[in-house]
Amino acid sequence: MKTRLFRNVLAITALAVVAHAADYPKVIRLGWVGNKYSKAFTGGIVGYAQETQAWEKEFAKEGIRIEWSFFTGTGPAINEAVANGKIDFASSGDLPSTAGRANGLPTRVIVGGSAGGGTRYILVGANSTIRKPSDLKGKRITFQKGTYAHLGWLRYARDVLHIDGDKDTKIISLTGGDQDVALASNGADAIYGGGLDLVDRGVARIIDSIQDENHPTVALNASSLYTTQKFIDKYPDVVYRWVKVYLKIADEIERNDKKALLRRLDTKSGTALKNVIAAEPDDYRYSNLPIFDDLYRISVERAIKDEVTFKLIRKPFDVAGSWWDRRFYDRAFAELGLGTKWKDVIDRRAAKAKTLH
Amino acid sequence: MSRTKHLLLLASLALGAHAVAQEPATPATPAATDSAASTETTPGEALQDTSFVPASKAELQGAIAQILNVDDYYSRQLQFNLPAVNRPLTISGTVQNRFTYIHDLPTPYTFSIPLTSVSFSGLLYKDFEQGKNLTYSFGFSSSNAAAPTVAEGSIGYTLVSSAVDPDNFSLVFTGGQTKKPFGLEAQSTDEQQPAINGSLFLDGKSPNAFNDVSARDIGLVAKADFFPTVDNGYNYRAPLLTLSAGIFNGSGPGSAAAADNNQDKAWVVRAAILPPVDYYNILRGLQLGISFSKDEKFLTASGVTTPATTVTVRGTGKDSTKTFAYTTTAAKSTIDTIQGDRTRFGVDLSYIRTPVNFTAEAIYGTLDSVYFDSKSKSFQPYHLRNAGGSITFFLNFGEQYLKQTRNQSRPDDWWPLTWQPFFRVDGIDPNLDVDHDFQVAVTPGVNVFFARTTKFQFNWRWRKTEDKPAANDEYYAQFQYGF
Repeated sequence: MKTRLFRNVLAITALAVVAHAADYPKVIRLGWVGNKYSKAFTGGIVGYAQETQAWEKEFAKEGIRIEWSFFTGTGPAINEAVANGKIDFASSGDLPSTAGRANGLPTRVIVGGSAGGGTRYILVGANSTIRKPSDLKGKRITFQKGTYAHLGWLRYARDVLHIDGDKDTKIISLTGGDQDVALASNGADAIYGGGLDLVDRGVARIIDSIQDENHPTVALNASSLYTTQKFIDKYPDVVYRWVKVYLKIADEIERNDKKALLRRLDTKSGTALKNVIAAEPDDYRYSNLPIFDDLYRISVERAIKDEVTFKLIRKPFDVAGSWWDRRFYDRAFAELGLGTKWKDVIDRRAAKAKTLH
Repeated sequence: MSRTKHLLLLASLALGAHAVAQEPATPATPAATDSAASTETTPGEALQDTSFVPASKAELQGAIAQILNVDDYYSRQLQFNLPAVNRPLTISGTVQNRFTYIHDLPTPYTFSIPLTSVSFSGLLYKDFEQGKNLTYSFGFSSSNAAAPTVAEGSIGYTLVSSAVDPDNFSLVFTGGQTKKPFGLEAQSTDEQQPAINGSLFLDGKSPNAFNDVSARDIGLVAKADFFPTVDNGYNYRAPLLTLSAGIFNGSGPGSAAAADNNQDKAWVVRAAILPPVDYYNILRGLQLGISFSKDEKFLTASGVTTPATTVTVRGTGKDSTKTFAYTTTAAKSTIDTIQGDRTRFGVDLSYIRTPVNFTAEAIYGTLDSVYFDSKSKSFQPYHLRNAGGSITFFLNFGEQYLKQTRNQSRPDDWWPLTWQPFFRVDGIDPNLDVDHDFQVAVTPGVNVFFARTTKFQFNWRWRKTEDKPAANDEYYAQFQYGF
């Protein structure tokens, strides 16, 4: 009797262990930056995945639901959600992602970064007396603090205007919609990172455009895509499959030139097509392929260094050693043969990285 | 803007996307020209995108007709159906529908509407540059069948703003009828006060309760914070020190000059400190506060009335053999010149860090009064001392109080369910010099938020007055909803 009881307990325990090993979350919660018009869409690789329901299909057989969240508060709101355990995968700009990590947020970067290369604009009022970038000294500049634009403006002020962006200008922290109103009502003199739709409406004109070619230290992109250490520990297989789908899509949309669909996704948020095209990078493939390499590492490390200099964060942290978890990416990268398929971009990025050393 | 210009603008915006397909792009600026020209995709290539087929003339005419229809529709709406306001306005309101079961009452089951309120608030002036905004707020509230009364009527001015620069200190003045800056529960929001009923020391139903600090009053309040810690990663700002000071009539809400008998006014001061830590730090949400209030009033004790009485007195002199009836004059002994002090001292500690939350508060008060001493036939001063407090533990499972997280772009009317179980112990000693009058209440309960501004609350309350049998059969269920 005792033996039978022991066997039953053993069997139940074994079943429980197996069941736990094959455990899956009921839902995978994704968090992305919302857009100015509060539409639940995004662009690029993730937008394509949303449109084609790539992750929904990947996890359908396990009955895992995919929950999409688009945060109107952008990067800082995403950090709040991660800190409170409300999302599992997220992406945000260089300042919010590194500031979160610097202050202890247990995120792990699981996908390499893109090279960036899109165009960002500095807008002034249509009737403004500001004629050239140097006229911005002493003026009222608006953007949302805590976002990529915060770091971008301080870099622009330092490297282009050769002034202190904090002390030599008046920074007004406003969200996207309020920035437009402030510029139109003369409540601000310039928007850093404004949209071209304001120009179309005759409200604003461009005082400078920021691209890798003309302002490389300002345009340097270091946004990060991450999950949490807790999610990795609990569902490593899910993380791997999630990353693999991401890389497959990145490869697919670049190889098959799904540009029309990507542009349509960008216009869904209300931006005119011609402005979507105007803000596109010169080389779509080079700019958007997610690669773990020295260029990405240097970009992130430079962001961290500048954030410490600008007192946006208090202390630096190790990027490649402790923040990155490349295991899932490297495995999927190899299985998809991306080393060969993306060789030209990898080589070009390596050359670029050498110039930054 | 004229109607023609308006239509042209609408049409041009709507057709902006098609313009690129009709003719070569005409960038608004040289910078845009350079950018567009340098992209690998030209407008001509855009034509090849099957998603962007050029519009025909008929389609354009159809689009223009549709815009005209929309313009007509909204013009009529604006003229006939939409209210107009002079300044930015937010209208909000709250309603509570409550079911109460108290076994000992003659009618144990009761339905009630303990609160209906509506408020109007907005900006009188918005200062984009420095955030020196001028705001207004007024509203009415009512309980059950009572006539609505003014709940809020105030004007606010931000002299120094931290909104446009979180690293800055802030200074805000509020004048009019508003809450007093005292303690935690007296000025708390739903986030810090999960129970349906207020604590015994504040609810006004217990003798010598401290409801004077929770009642709104008319006066002027200044609130400032200093030495903020700003975590750029979360838009989080934690001022090391927050100071508030207010001067009020001291007579409660709606007090007119005739009702104000407080020569030196009531004044309230509060200081609170927060640890200078980042958002993810375990100490985020910890706060220690102290509050003090004092007011002086002319006491209007009703005194003792000496009734008219008839007495018989014997005559003197030649009338010494006679008696006479004599009626004394009725008299009322009142005092109206004694000035009495009322002081309140509070200390509070809170830790609001979803999902774990904790608040604790204690208050000690004195109240000068008088009583008529029957032996000496005179009024004697009396110094009442009382005290109260509460401790509340509560949890938040959900996103109701994650302000940034819940602000999402959604195609539907999404709102996540939030559960908020809590446990509160509160009490009051109405007179520290009298034994066996201490009252205590224990309230466990749960709140369920199932929409952005709607929650269902269920509370059970156990009450006991020292040396008296406990009452443990109070049940409350309530829907609170707002707009």
